[in-house]
Amino acid sequence: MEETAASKPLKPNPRRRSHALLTTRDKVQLVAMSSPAIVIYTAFLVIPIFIALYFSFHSWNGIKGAPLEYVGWQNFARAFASPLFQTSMKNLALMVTVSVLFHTPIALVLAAVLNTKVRGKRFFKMIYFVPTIFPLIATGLLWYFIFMPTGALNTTLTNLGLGSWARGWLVDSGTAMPTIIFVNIWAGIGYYMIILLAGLKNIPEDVYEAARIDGASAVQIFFRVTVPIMRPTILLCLVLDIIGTIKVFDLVFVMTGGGPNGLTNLPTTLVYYEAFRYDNYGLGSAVGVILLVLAMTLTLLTQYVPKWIARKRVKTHA
Amino acid sequence: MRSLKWIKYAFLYLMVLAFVLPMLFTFISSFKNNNEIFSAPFSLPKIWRFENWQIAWSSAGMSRYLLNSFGLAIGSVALILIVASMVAYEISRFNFRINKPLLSFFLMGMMIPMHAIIVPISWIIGNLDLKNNIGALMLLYIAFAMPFTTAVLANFMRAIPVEIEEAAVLDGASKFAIYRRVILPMSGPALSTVAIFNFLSVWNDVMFPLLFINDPSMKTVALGLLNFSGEHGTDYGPMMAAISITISVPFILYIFFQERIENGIAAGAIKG
Repeated sequence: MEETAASKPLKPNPRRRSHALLTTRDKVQLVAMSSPAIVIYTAFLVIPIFIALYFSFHSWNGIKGAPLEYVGWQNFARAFASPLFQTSMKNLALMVTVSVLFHTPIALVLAAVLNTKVRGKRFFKMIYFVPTIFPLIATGLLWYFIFMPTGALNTTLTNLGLGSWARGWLVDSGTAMPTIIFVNIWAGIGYYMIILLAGLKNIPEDVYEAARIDGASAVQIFFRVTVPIMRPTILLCLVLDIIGTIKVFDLVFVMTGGGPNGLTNLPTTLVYYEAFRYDNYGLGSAVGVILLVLAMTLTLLTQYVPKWIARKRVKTHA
Repeated sequence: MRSLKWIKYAFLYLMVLAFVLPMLFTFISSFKNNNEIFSAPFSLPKIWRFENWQIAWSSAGMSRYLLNSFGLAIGSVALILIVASMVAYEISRFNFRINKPLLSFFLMGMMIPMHAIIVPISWIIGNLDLKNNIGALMLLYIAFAMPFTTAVLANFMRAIPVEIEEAAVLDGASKFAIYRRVILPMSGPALSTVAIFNFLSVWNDVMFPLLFINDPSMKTVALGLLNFSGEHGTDYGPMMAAISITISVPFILYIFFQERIENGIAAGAIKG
């Protein structure tokens, strides 16, 4: 008994001290220390959200001093009726779907292989991972010169006698979006690999040992042991991928500029082009607000739905 | 077992090829002229044209842009660390009723895609006459760094045992002194992790410089590279050299900070 009483105060408990003990000086200091963050964050991130809402209900050409005219839901109606916006949403849906289908599975296989005894592990990890921290402008340009009509890919195809396969990858309406999605996948695999690799390190070696003694093959171990244990981490990757893909801008911006004919726009690039190229600030803001609502909805859904499912499962099992 | 090993390495090297080939093409091309780049993309140059790098480095201004980006990124990161660590200290070490809502208020920012609010941000910057102002860019980067940085730092500081503060408290130290002399030095690992991630996100960002910097002497690397492709778009050799210069920086960063970067990502860091 004495022992527990003596060891009690040693327990780390930073909240033990109540702020009733704070002097006025302390309180003044704490307010002064907190305010820069609150003020800057509010001024440049929170207030813009409300201004975006305000703009989206007004018509405005972006010129300083020009009058803003209240137009109700007109900007939103125009956005939803616009083929450009519809295309950008379809492109986003396609990009999210295809990215999710490729990023995590490829990353998981890479991580699983790298988690075994591999010579030169550091080298492999570096090669797969570093492209994910390139500026996306550089990644996009790098691939642009490969995919452009006279680029490396078409030349190589022609040199290999496959000239009939050569095409304007980023110019053809059929291949432009898939090409951008491919580059997005290329530029992301390493990131998910690192997350998955960290998860794999937490699986104790005896789990694999047991499976091996039972006569499981490497492929069986991957699907029957690794994948089920890694389920939470895999889910995290999928969530990060969905949220990350909504924010893709640079790749489209630098590789196609949204073209041909706006066919490769995403909502992000559409906001930029409508507002800053065509001076449709109201429409640009409306698309921005739709993007905002979409991002918030998806984030909240991906945060709470897995928890809700887990809770439900526990209840039915109990 | 032996065949399995063979498949394993074949797979790993095939993937290496998928990642290295495009970079290799860019690097080799940076020493060629247009004709060579187009006729034989993957062969070595007959004459190594180092002048391409010279053009990219000096007349196209990449050296200048690198310096600008370093200045902007290091300045932003320093300010982000100061501003975020102070509020994280308040949130994590005291039990004011406002702390929980305050942290949620910052966390909410993680859901906001930058592009959804660039129109109002550009309106604010325009109205305050803050174009071509590095300080304004830093304020924007601070605002967008707050959610992630505050969350990571507050989480770390919460775990520092309160006993550590006791000597300072007995000395009659103020709360700011405790923050500076005790909590901040102990938060080193968390501070360096968020420093690297914020450095990368400022370094890689092109949106804010694109909208708010048009003075050529103030361009960042990403913006400089973007404009390079517009102005010297048909001068492929120097263009490839400029891309090579740009992507070598993340390589160097990774080699120096591999552990920090990987741990940061594994801890759920948000992509920059």
